[in-house]
Amino acid sequence: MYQNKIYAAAAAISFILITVYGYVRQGTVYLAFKYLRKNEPLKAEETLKLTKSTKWLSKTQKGYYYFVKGFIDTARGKLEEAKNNYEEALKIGLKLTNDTALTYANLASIHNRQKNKVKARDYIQKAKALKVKKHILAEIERVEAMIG
Amino acid sequence: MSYLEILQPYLSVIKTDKQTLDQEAFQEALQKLEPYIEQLLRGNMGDVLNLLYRLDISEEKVKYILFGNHQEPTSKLLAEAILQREIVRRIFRLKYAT
Repeated sequence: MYQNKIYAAAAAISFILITVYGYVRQGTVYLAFKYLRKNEPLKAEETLKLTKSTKWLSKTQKGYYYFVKGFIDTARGKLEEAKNNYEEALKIGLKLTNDTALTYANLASIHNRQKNKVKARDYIQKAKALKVKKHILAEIERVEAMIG
Repeated sequence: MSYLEILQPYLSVIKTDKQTLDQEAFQEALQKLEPYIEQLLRGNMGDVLNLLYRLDISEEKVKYILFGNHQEPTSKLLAEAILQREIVRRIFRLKYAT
């Protein structure tokens, strides 16, 4: 009986530790990303803010933290901030090649909006060099056509 | 000041359901509305999203404007979508007023 209580306590403590560890390492990035995909930038932003510090996030989550932030800044029209966040995401690295290519395409689009065609073309070339899914390729080509 | 107060002088020019804004007035209204939208976007984005929802602007269109890759500033495209929708609403109201 006494032993059972010890097992239960150990299980509870393990559960709490795993949850805390998960929160610290994963943050709220995945949830924010899901809101972003559901076209809810405000919820994505609020959720992302729940991650107080990026310092303890795993490398993958850190990359996506800046990736999501880049999208939110774009939606708010804060192009400089968006650019910095996308660049940070690329520097840290994103797990999926498709996301990396999309980040390059987004950066190209921002530079194009800021009339910096040289940099825009440079980013598009980087995006095109990656092996991506059809719909991402279509987006890259659309941005490329826009740049001209 | 609300977005409707900004647009009212332009919308009130439309007196019949066969009428619409001419290009010049449209651009002028857009120029007035865009800074207002830009301010909201940077500050209280929820107000813009609520407005777009209320005006029943398609989710796909909103998604494209907010996250898509386009050449125009986000605030300008949003202002354009809002203005176009308000013109359509005005025309519909006039058409079914009686």
